[in-house]
Amino acid sequence: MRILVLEDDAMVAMLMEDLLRDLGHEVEGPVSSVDEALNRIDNATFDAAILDVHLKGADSYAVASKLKSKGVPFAFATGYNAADLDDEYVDQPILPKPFLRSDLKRLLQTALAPKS
Amino acid sequence: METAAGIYARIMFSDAVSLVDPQLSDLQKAMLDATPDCIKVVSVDGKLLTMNRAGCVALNVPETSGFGMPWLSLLPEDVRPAGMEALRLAAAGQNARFGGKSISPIGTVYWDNLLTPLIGAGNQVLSILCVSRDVTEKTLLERQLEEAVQREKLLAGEMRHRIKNIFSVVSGLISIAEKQAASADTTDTATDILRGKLDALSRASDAIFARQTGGWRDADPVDVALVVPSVLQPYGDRCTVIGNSVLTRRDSMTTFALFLHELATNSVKYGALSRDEGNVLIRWVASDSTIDLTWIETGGPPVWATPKHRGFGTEMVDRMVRSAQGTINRTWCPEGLMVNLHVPNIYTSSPS
Repeated sequence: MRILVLEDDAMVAMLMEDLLRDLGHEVEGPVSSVDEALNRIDNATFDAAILDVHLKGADSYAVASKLKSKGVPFAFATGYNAADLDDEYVDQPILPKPFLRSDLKRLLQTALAPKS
Repeated sequence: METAAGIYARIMFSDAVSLVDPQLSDLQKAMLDATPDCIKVVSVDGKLLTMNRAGCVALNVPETSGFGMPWLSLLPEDVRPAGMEALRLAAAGQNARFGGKSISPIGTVYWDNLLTPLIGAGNQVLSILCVSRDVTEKTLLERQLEEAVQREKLLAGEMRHRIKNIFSVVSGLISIAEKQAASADTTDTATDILRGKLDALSRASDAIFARQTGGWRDADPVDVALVVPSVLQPYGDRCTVIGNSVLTRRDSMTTFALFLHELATNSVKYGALSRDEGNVLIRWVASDSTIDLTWIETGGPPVWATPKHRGFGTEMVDRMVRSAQGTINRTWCPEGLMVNLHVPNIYTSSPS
């Protein structure tokens, strides 16, 4: 699968990218801003997305909303739990931060797995 | 109904006393004038009939005015609706209470107003007694307490966020240290590498907190000029830092500190800091929108060519810079490595 990664922490972005590649996936990005993520949705092709919720000075809900309208599966990567997410997204899959390789693997095999 | 506690529920008169023109003995008047409470009698239709000295001072009414003016018109506009409601209740024979305030040259005074109807023999309300107590001190203390509680809540939330974040960073550092140790270009153990990185971040964090430039929220500003020397402090005067003070977001500092730490570690192994006579000059010019930093090594082992092999640390730094939407260039001058870093300064005061 090709996964869009939106993450503004350089270190976390790098680790996420490495883990995804280790797990045999391709990475779109990582991108660190809402604008860049929206741009990739318009101009790139990918199967799923992982979005950091709290970006520097912004949140990623605008990206979530666009992915939702396009039917692209996505998960939030966050240090918080579902209760801290916007009401609209409480049922969205979550990658808890800090995450392990096994957390990421499970997420990709379940919530973000391509529908067959 | 709100009950006016601590005073008469109602004041009954056995015969028709004329309260429209109350006559007080000198002693009674002296007693009334001695209290700091404002005591007044108001007609059922809200006109001020009489008032003690404290009341006259508070409402700026001459004691010789003869009164007769509408009482509420003497109060600030924003407390009049509550006063009107209290007057209505008192005129209907009930007790009432409302919080008021008066504004005088010495400042705003907050009042607790207790209204008690004066009831005649025929059970009709003759007039209304209003006792107002200065509760300014209490009101201000209550506000301060409320603000302190709010601040406390905010701080607790931020602390929770920070702790989460620290775990996240440490978890990331562990992964990086493992990878770095496993790479071919080092003999250091993962623990050594991790300790080095944690020390660098810890010094940066100390520098930020010690100078109290704010920095307890991610979006709070911290000074680049504090962070750079703190990360490079172990190398003493072999690193010269020259740069201006400029604010950046606290959460950008992790990347920045790791970047400097990586360059320094590399220099200790292969570059200027590996020789006693080697030095590094770090200069930066930063503005609200960009940070341009130059790292210049001199006095190290002579550089003959651009190294073919790129180490894990170099790779990591490059990717982190890219991820921060920055650019990095390495120039292998004969006298040593020169690194040019250009990153946007994402400093915005909006909450994250």
